[in-house]
Amino acid sequence: MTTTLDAAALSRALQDRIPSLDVRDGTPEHAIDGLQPALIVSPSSQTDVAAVLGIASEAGAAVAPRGGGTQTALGGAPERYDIALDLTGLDALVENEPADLTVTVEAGMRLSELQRRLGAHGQWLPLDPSLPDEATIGGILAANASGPARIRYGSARDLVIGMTVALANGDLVKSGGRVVKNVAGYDMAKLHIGALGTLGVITQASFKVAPLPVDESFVAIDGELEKLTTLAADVIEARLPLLGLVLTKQASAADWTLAVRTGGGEAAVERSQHEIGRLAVAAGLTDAPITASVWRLATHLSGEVVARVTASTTQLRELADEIKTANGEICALPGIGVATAAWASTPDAKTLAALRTHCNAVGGALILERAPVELKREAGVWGATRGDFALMQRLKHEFDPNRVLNPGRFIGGI
Amino acid sequence: MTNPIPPAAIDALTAVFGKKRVLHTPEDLLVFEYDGTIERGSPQVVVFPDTAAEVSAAVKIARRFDLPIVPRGAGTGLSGGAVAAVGGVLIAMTRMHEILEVDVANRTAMVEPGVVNLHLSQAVAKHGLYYAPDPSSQRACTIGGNVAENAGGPHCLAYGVTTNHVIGLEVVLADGEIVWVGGGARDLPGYDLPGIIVGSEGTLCIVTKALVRLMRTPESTRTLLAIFDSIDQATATVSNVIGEGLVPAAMEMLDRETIKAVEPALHVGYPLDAGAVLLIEIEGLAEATEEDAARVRAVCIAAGAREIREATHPVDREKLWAGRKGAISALGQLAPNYYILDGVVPRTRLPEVMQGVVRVGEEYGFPIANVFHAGDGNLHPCILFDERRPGETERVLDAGEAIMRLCVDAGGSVTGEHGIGLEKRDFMPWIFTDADMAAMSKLKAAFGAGEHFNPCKAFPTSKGCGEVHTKAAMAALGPDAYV
Repeated sequence: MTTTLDAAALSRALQDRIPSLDVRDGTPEHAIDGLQPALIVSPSSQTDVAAVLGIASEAGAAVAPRGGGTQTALGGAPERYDIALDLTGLDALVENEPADLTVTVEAGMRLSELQRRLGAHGQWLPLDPSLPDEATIGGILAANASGPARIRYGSARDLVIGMTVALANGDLVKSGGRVVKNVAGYDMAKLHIGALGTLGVITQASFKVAPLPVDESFVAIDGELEKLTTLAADVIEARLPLLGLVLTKQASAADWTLAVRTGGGEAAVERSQHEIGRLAVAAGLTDAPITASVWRLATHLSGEVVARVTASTTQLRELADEIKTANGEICALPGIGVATAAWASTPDAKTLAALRTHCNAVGGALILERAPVELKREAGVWGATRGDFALMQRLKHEFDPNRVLNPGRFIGGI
Repeated sequence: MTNPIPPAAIDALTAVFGKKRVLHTPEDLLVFEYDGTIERGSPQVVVFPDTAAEVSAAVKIARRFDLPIVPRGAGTGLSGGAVAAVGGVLIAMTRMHEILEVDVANRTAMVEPGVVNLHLSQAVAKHGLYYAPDPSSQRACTIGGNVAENAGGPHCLAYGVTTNHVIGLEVVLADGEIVWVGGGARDLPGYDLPGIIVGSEGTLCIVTKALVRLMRTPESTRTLLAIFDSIDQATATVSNVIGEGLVPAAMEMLDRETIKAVEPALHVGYPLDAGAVLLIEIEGLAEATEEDAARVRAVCIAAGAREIREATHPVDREKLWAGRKGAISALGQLAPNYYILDGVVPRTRLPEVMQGVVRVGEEYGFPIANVFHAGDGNLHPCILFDERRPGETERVLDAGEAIMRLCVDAGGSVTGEHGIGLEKRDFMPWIFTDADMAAMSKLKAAFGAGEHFNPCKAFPTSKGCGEVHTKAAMAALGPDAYV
């Protein structure tokens, strides 16, 4: 669906007002749900990002920000799509004082690159979502991506201490700071985390970081879902220094697997291994060490169709069972209540609807993170809106009245 | 001076709350004109809701008569957040103090905003659970107030602040609508509304319920008291502990001036001749705490600690913490008034900033007692003074401002946990541009809050806020009043 937008004029306006700006014609590679943008714009500075948005706003253009492109499938079909805003050129490490356990980084840096730099000082950003080599910081925040480490460190909202965002009106604004406690001003970062760029484009973020564990262990226990669910609860109750607890059933496996990652000092890790072993044996199961790479494979899924499922922790087992019955693979995080479900071949909309109903019934949700366009349309990406939707609409209206940023892609068609 | 409240407003409120739960005489309002600070401001009426519906009704009536709305918990706040800057309807949430539900399996609790912070932990202790954010005022402060200020506390070093423990909220909006935001589950689709409401200082909505996360008490806790001859050694230790990659559950500093007040009053075991002490708590598996405690000790000794004591018995641990948590109140031994500041700096800058604080004390001629969350870089210099001496209060405020400037210049912020409130509105431009604050004001617009909720708070003075210290109820009673 093309618009009445004059792409050539827009391109000229962009290049006139931002001479150093990299502006190219859109390609199929940048299409979202089959809609190809007229232009790809790759700013090299945060102020340029803001300027681009300001110009786009004036022209009535619609912008979809992107980083590594790992989550471009997340969201409904765009109402309009004129500019793919490529943030990968913003990849500077702005500040890192290791002794402060904080870091400030531009949105376009890949997660693995950040981890590499922090690793040189024996630290890491304790956020372990999928595809760290491709995913950028900004994209991870905008999609609220997370991984098993959240059992100790929480998700993005618990790690961000400051943020700079380019708004649709061309302003570049910041909130928070570079200190680990800060209540000056509203906590604006919370607005943009998980917002899919619909209220602003994240250009920079500051984080609390953590020391890398001195010692680590990865262990896997195979068995039936019921037994492993109980075992997971026992492991949590044992108060071990967990860095991940994942209940998974992948297509190739006969059984379910509970994968456990612990990290800390040597004595603490040794004790943890001992405890896990003891609990496994008591459940009539065996634990076996696995490598870090097997852990990574076991705890992240991909597929034609990927859904994020969220429920209360006690409901997770039933949901996991339902997903398996629907021929999906699953990676669930007991103790958090979040799971990823993936299908190699497309499930039908009714199956997804039933799953979603179940999630909703326990106060949770099902988000279709990746699916063919028709399935997304039929099943819906985000599910029904809730009682607070009017507030969300008003936020959108305040921050992006001209619907420049990813219009139509968020919950309720925001 | 605010206009007298229209009698019709009193009548309307009385119709909802009954006579007993509506206060509007000067004698009654007196008690509500202050919080934990030196700010003063009299509301025009105080109401005590029992339900969210009553909160909604009060909001609607206030709107009908164009009266500002000030939500209030226990009034322990340290930035003037619950002080009625320009009169209005003070909605005291303290009667809504039920713990509605504890979900042990999911480790959550649904609470009303008037629940006292410590009471929540005490109520769930039998399940081996507790509520982690632990401000020093936790024996009195309420969850609703904690949410408004995004309250911290000593154990936030390891476990995060209030916003990291709030999963969902029920709130009353400026038009009286009651809305649930967030949810029972994590990662719900949509914007993180609880995330932006926590720390919004009562300017967007009024919280009527909170779904909070509970934590499992650790297997092992070790509490160390490291004793130093100088503040410099103590601040260097803090910086080095973090630099070593150690993150204790808590790392608190008390200086000689503070100990002078605390020890004679509370007899908790702080040495009177120390320059500073660090109260360091380490939690985790027994093996982990043993290892980490040894590493922390080594860092303390390397920085010059002259002695390190460990509380081997829970009673001793309680005493050490009683000293820390009772420190502010104990300052009354040293002077009739104190002004407690709240600033935060990167931990590596603590040594130099604390030296700056000492210099400010000397320059302005005030003793300063420092008791604070050193592990977070969150300082609380307490300036001791006597408000009866002419000009002293003004000089204290200037000294406070000088210390805030030190924090900002060191790359920090003007408030770590107490909030901007009334106290620091005019410091906001030090750290935020007009554009930054314009973006924040969009939140108020989206919530329809305008200036209805807690006006004159959190952002630089708008028109009508000017001279904040409205005629206090005491003055309204006249010089011969017997109170």
